[in-house]
Amino acid sequence: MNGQAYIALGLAFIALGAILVAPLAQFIYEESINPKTFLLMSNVNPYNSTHMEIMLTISYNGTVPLNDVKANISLGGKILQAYREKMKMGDSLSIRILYPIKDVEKMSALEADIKFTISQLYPVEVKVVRI
Amino acid sequence: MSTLNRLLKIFVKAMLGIFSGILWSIVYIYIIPTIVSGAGFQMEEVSPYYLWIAMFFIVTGVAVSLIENVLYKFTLNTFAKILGFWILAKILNNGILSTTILYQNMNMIVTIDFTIILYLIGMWTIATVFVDFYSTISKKEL
Repeated sequence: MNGQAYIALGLAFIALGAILVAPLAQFIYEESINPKTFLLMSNVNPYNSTHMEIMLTISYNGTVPLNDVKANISLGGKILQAYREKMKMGDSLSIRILYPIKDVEKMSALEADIKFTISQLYPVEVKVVRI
Repeated sequence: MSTLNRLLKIFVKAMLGIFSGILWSIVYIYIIPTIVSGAGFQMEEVSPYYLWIAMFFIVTGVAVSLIENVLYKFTLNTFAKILGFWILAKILNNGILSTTILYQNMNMIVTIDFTIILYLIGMWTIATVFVDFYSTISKKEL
């Protein structure tokens, strides 16, 4: 009886565990075979004579949906935010910053903080310390 | 003959306890760290505690196996399970793991919170304690 109860419990929790772990395992697997699955790109272009345009893009090419994607970019004392409720394969999230050319040496102080949840189960935080 | 049988029974029980302790030690010392580091995350360093973890599981395994009194057996078993779960939570940094990735001039610190898996393992631990409790009150051998 005790043994049977243990087997039943074990099987029930293995099944539940497999359902819960599957999105995380899939995300880690996709990210390990293709590091460009979740990509953070920065693009700097001249905008006018006093400013340049910095484009930060988060693109996602994985099969597991990401939820509540929040990006906070801190640059030169300014904090810019972007939010997307759900990101699926092929989706992207962009933040456009117009930055004074005279402050270009402060560029190394750029910090990005990206938060999202994998299938609404696993909160993930990505801190880009320096670009 | 009867004494020999008793001794043999105690020996078999002790061996079963040692075997179960070694199995759990392998899970904690080898399998879990391999899975976590294989996923690219850093976890608490387990190597300084190898001996303590192995001793804990072997001693509790042998004790649970040898104790005849169902109430003491249940109490020790529950204590061992809860302490085992606590060790697991500790080595998995309470379900929050992080790693540093260098990519295209970016230094990224990735932190993942998988406490939901720890909750599931905790629920399983409690469920097995309930099964043990039911067996104890039904006066069945654990």
